Amino acid sequence: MPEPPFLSVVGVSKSLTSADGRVLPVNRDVTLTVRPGEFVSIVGPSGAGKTTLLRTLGGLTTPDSGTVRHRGEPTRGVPSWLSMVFQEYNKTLFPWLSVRKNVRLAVRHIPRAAADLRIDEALAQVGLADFADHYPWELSGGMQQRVALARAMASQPELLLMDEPFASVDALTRAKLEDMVLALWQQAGFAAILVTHDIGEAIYLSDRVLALSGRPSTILSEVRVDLPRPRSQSVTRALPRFHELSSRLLALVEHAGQEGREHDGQGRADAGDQR
Amino acid sequence: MTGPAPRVLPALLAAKPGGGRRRVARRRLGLRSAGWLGVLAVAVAWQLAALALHRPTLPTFTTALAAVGQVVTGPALTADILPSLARTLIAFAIAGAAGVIVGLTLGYVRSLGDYAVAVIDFLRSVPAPLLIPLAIVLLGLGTPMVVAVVAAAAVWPVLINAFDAARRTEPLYLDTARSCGIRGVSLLRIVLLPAALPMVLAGLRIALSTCLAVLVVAEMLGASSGIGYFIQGAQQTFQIPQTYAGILVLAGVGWLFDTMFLLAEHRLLRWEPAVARGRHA
Repeated sequence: MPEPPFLSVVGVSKSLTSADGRVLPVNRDVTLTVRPGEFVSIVGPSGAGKTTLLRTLGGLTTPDSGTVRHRGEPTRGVPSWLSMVFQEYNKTLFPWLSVRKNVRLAVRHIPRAAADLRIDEALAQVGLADFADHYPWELSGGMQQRVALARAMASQPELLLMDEPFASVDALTRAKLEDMVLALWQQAGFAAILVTHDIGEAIYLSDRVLALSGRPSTILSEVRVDLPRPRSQSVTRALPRFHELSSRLLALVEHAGQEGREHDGQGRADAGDQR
Repeated sequence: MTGPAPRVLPALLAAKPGGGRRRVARRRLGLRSAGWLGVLAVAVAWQLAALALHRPTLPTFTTALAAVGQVVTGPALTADILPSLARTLIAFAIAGAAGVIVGLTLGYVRSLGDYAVAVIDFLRSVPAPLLIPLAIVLLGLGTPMVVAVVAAAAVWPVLINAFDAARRTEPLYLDTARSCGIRGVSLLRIVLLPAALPMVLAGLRIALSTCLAVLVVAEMLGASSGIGYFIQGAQQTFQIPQTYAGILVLAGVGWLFDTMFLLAEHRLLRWEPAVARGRHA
């Protein structure tokens, strides 16, 4: 019997209820798998339900139907083997806690001495060892997002879920943050799922990019990113292949934005056997 | 791995050392000279009015001040002032703890809160002095009755502010807490209370002044000690300067409590950017 996949999402559908009581189907029959240590991005038109899908994967909401399995085991609640990084770093770092104490929240369950080591290591990895005793609001936006990244790293996750983590910083900081995530990923070996609307970013970082349809969203298709690693902003983004992949994905997403509503949810992306 | 260079605004770092904090604290204590000049002006006006009107019902400011001196150094200190202080602090502690815990819980557990809103609105509409006759029947005369009535009056501003603040907790704070596995009492302590703290403290400050207001009424009607009892006794025995002195003592106690409260608040909120930068009103 083959080993069960690291993460398998099968037929996940989710509706949200708006404030005035209308039921809005957001994700429909989403199916995907992720291999250990794989970097996968999910792109799609705005409002496609990317965040909802990520929240479902992170256990912050339960799907209406479908299953999320980790090494064959259905996930329940918020799994301890994954961490999340959100777009709005200013709302995910607690302003009343120092940088160190914010990171500590991720390692509350382990003994103090071991936790301290993990915190120091994680802060050093994101280059913020000297800022441990500052409050988050004393740091720039990019530095705050690095604190969030350090917190995600401190629990040594098998999977890192990122919801548009670089959308709220300037372009230069963004490129540096992307490289920092790549370095951490290469070093620590976790799998990563990145939700973004930036196709270039998705290609630059990922092994595989999944294109989501418009709402109710399902996975339309996937694009394997066969660009060499290690990648670099100046070299990788200048490769002809980068632009080819980029155009292909752009066409897919544009198409999804126009016809997503008519889509009947048959799209599947099962990367496991498409190597 | 080299990250982006630190881009910390110099102004923010400059606000960290104690100098700015002390300056802020002093300003918040009302020790600015303009404030004292205002107090002095009122005292002078009182003095002149008393001298001009020359009525036994209006002693001069200096006479009242002398009576204050007598009261705070005489038997009334232990017989009346200290019991009042103790009752206020006990009732404030009860109201504060109950208001924060119940308010945050009802605010966080949305379904429970929906049921509670109508009950809360009904109960808090009952003027506290109205509870005194009932409290006397239930608890008799004396300190337990006074403390119960004062706490029942003071709990509402705390509870309602805590409730509103918990309802409006940033959803991403809650997501973050959950993704870090923080639940139950830890969630209350680590996330809900600190996030609600600015509003909770505003409620507590109102509660503190409510405590004193209800305290004196309760002491006048149902106790044989306390500042309220003292003022009523002085009035009934025509000791007019003592009556004024009692009022001044109570005002002083109120000012002292508020001052200590602001100091504590400033310390508790020193993580707030506005407080640390010294712009907090």
